[in-house]
Amino acid sequence: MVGVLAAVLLLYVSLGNEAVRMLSVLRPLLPILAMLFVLHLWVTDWQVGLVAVSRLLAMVLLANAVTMTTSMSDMMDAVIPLFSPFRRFGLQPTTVALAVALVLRFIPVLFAEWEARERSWRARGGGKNTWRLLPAYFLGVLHLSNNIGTALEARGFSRQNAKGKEA
Amino acid sequence: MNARSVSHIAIYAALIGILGLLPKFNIPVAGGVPVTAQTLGVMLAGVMLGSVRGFLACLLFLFVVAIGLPLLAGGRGGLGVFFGPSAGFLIGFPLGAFVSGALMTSLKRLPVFTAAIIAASVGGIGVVYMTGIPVLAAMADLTITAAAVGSLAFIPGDILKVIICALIARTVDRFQPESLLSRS
Repeated sequence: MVGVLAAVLLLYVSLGNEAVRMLSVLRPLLPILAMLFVLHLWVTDWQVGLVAVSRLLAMVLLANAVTMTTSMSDMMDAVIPLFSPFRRFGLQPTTVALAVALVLRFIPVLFAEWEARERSWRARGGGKNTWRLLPAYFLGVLHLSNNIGTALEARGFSRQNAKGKEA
Repeated sequence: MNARSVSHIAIYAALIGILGLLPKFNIPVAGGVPVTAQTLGVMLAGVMLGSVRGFLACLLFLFVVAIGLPLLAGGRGGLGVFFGPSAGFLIGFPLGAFVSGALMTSLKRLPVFTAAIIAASVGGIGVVYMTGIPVLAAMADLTITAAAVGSLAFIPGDILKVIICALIARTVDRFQPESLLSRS
């Protein structure tokens, strides 16, 4: 397992400096791995621990290498056709693509919305318990979602979807 | 799948991401264990959207994480997270949301707050840990008990999230009941 890990690390080195810098994605994982190793020292022995830790590291790094070397749109192009078997359940691959696009668009919008609410909460002397804003924030978000649904409807979303279902 | 459902599913998927990214939600925690609000999003998806749409919202969230968006707590993303020690918890997200939604629908007689507490704790804590702990044990060569004890630290934060989730559900039920799709 340590050998496999070494091979994966060599792959990263072969991809150049930027890839090596990407190894920093492991940082949030390190405390967990350290804890795991200590736990193994305690429960089993260091060899089992080393195998467990290096196996996890190798798997995460390999999968990360795919993400690193493939752009988001390439990934979408590769994955979206995989949804075509679901056509018979009434799910269009294009619907999946639309949903992904919506998520991408919603994230900055929802972020901005939260920040605005938090700022006004602070401005009015609100304390640290910002979770109190969540229910009201949620009402706003749901309102937005309803509006987007209506907008999609108005642009003929369901008609297009129904046409696809017949085909 | 009508337009409104798609938009709701997408917005909940985005919310799960946002809740994981914002350390600013300042959920007060017992014991100093850092919790993210990510599973709050999962609970909400189930409780508000109902079983199928909640399931799909979590699946969509995992999908955008898999294609590379760094939306998981701590800014992680990409295929790697599905091979890490917490992969089982991720798989538990859609299942947990499904169970929460199903419970929410079947407990229609109870007041929203109570039903949401039950639905969110069974789905958002019970189911998520039931898939998370065995996978953690397998990935890390631990016994199930050791993995379970290790996960206990997150329970207080999760209980808090259940309460917040129920509060949100009650607020929505009061002011915008048509958005509580699990019950309409």
